[in-house]
Amino acid sequence: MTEPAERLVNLALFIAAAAGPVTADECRRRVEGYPESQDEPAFLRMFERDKDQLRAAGLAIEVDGDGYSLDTEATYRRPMTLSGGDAMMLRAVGAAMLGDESFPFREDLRLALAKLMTDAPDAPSPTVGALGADEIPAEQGAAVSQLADAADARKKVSFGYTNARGGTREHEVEPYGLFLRDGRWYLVARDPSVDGIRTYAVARMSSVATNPKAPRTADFDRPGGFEVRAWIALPFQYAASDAPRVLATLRLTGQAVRTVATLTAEQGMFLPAGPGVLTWRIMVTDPVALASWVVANGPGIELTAPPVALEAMRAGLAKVVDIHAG
Amino acid sequence: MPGDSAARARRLLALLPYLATQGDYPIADVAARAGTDEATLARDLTTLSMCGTDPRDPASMVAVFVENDLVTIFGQLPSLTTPVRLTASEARALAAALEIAGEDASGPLQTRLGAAASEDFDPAELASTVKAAFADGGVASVYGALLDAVTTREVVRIRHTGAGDAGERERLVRPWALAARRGVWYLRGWAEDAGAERTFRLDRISSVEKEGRTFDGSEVPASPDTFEPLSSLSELPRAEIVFAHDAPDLTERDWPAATFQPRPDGSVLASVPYAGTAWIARKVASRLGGAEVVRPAEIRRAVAKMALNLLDGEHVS
Repeated sequence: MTEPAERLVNLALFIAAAAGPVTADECRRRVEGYPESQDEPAFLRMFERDKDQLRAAGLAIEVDGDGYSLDTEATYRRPMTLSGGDAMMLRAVGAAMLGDESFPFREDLRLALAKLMTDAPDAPSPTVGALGADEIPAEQGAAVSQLADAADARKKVSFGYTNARGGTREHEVEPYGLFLRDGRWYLVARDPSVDGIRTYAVARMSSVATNPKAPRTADFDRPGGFEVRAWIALPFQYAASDAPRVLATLRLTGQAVRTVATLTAEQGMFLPAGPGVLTWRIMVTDPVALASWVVANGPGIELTAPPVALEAMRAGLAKVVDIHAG
Repeated sequence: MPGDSAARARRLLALLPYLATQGDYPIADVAARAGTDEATLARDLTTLSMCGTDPRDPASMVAVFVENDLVTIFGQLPSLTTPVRLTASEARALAAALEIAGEDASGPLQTRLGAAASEDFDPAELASTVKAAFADGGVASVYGALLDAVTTREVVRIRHTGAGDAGERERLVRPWALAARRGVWYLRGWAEDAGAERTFRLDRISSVEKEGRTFDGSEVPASPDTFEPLSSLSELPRAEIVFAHDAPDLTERDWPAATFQPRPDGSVLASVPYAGTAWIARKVASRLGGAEVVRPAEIRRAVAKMALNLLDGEHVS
């Protein structure tokens, strides 16, 4: 008996080899794997599923009346020249991310690299490893994969969520985007029950489920101009929603400038302030946390405002000196 | 159809272009290129050998067999000899992985690889909905140079700023591996100047130069890229730190391999292993008085000195 995967490959080879469009009936008669005992409706359902699976593999199957053919222009990738350095980078990316259980798109990455490395120059496999999210990495990777697909398809998702105080309740939300920060994946989604956008730590979710109804129909529209990065918060930006926000100004030099994207999560506004110097302006809800963050992430970060954060830093550092003297 | 059959079919279809040219190929080489293991590849190729356009015509079947660790291709593929474009989900995966490796989404490699993707793939859509890393341009160039040195086992001279250093230092390193954790890339290797294993954050390295000499690969420990501690933490000295009762983030995740003991007054006594004074001094100083090193004296002095330096103007204008 032919395996389903074999039948799919046979169908792909058959349609791709055909000189012109082929009908469903021709496929049934000539492609190995369609059961002879199957009635017509059952065959047609199987054939539809098979075509969907081949399209999901990248084959652009066109329909022309009763005939099916391959759009070769849309199916085959154009020849591309990869340098030895490109090939090594791809091998390194594969070694690192395919070994990282928290990377949500591992199987797709494996297939992407398989397609690209066909005609790439030889390259050794470098010793490279990665672990993006270090809490329950496999569970986070699987959940993010599902949530990203749901966000793409605009399908609602539901999950149990345990908040920082240990309380758990069910949520049904509209997933907009995902980000990875400091070893944790986060979902940004609209919660219709409060009519607001919220950020959820994926590691705190359980029983993630995508709305199974009408899988090809979107459940919601994402607002135009949505940018997931705008929802990333730094440690001094977490506070109650009614907490006052103040503008902080910091001067970045040296290493802090080199790593400004990682350091600041691309939040706030950056202004050139001389060779190798940036002025960073960002809204802050917790000035004491800002002072602590500046010390923890230096050198190369100089706090210039607001005064309340500066005073917190001076007083805090004076206390550090005092309790460690002698 | 079960999902695993569909996934297997995608894998089988991606393998077909590897079978376009007749000849004998080591299975290890094909597996490495295709990103799979040898056992899975052998099973997949055996399955493909039973596929074709007409089961009654042997000439229309996929002409491949595996024997003695060799993949033998003895005929022409009936079709699908050219690699298929990346699907939107495959392109998304590749773009996210490259971004984590420091390749900017608008960089030349990402742009060229984007041309291999299906027209359904929208890089702008990906950028606005999934953020897996922040690409610092400087890190990308350091990453590429170190990747090359790790592969060719060449000693490198790097300029690096340690966690507690005010300025850069030059270091001579035998690069063993690159490893990322929580989105931060590290170089792991043997620091010749220190005569010890060391880990360097890539975003603290400003330049990499090859020394023009190689090192013996036999000295590289097993799995240097897995981020397990190269030295046993039990061998490291420990500092005792008392945290105020309301101190946040007292977890092993924030203080690796530390132990925490609540005290009757609500404070917490922590035992924290440390390899150097700068890291622990900065972490304690950042508590702004909410933590006190009890012992050893050298760490107490390092914390006080760091706080004084900061008060003297390093960070406070």
